[in-house]
Amino acid sequence: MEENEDGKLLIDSVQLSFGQNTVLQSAFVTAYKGKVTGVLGRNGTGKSCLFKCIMGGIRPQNKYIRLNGEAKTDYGHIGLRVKYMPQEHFIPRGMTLPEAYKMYNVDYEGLVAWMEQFDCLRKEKVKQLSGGELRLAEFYMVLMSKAEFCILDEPFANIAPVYADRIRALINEQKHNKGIIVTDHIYEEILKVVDDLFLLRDGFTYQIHSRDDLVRLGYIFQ
Amino acid sequence: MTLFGKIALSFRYGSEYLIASGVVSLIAAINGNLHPEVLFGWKVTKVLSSLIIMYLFVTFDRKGRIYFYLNLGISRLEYYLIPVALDLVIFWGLLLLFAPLSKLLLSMM
Repeated sequence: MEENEDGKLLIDSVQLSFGQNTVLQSAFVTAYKGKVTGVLGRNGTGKSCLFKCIMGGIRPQNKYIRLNGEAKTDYGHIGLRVKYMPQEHFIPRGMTLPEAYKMYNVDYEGLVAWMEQFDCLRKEKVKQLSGGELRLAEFYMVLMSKAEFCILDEPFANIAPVYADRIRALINEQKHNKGIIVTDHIYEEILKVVDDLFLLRDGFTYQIHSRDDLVRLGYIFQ
Repeated sequence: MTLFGKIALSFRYGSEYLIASGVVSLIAAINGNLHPEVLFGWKVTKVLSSLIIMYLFVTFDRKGRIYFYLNLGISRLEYYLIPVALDLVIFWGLLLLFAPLSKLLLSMM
C-alpha cells in the first residue's frame, strides 16, 4: 500500500563536504505535519549544516527534498514553505521587531500576549535587545509564521529555564498546524517535546527509538 | 514574492553594497564621460570593483541574516545577484545621464 505523502517533508541523501572534511555523508530526516521531529548530535556533526542545506544557505554536493510527495519541489524558494530559525540571531540589527513581524505576516500583539515584556520593546531596534529577548522574539516569529514546516535550531539556548516551559507549550500547540523540526544540546528539553527522534553521527542519521539508543550511539552516558 | 518585491527587499539588505558600489559608479560615470578615451578602462574598473565589494559584502555579512530573507522566499542566488544587477543598471543609467552633461562641459572648454 502506498504511504500517504501529505504533510510530509522528506530530506534524504544529503552529502556535504568542505574540502577534505566530510560533514554529511548520507543524512536523512523525515518530518510530518502534526509531529515534532528532534535531531540530536554532538557538536560538529552537521545538524546546523543539514538545516542550512535544506534552506539553500549552503550548497551541498547532493540533496533530495520532497514536500508532500510532490513530483518536484522548488529548492530555491523553499523559504516560502519552510521557515528556519538559525542558531545565530537573524533579524537585521537595524530593524524593530514589529517591522520584522510585519514582513513575516505575524501579529506582534500575539508576542506581547505571550510575553508582556515585549510591549515596551516595540520601538527598540533589534541591536538594542538582549540576546535572550531577541531569541524569544525570533522563536515566536518563526513558529507563528505561515509555513508548512518550521526548523528550530537550538530554541532553548540562552533562554532562562523559566521560559523553557512556555517554549515547549507553544511548540506543542503549533504542531497541530505544521510540522516542526527541532534541535538543541539541552536534550532533556528535546526529549520532552518530540514525537520522532533522529541522531546525526559520523555523517549518517540514525533513528532513535529509546534512550538506550542514545547511549549505544555514544550521545549520552548511561 | 514578485520580482518587484525582491528588488525592494534588496534595497534593504544590500544597502551597504549599493552605497559603496554607487560611489564607484558615480566616479566612473563622471570621469568616463569627461575623458571618453579612458571610458573602457572605467567600465572594467567598475566591474572589478563590484566583484571586490560583493566579496567584502559576503565576507562581512552577519552570519544569520541571509536566513531572514531566505525565509521570505528569495533564493541564495537572488540574494546576491539582485543587488549586483541593480548596481550595474544604476551605473548604466549614470553613464547615460552624464553623457550630455560632459559633452556640454567639453564644448565650453
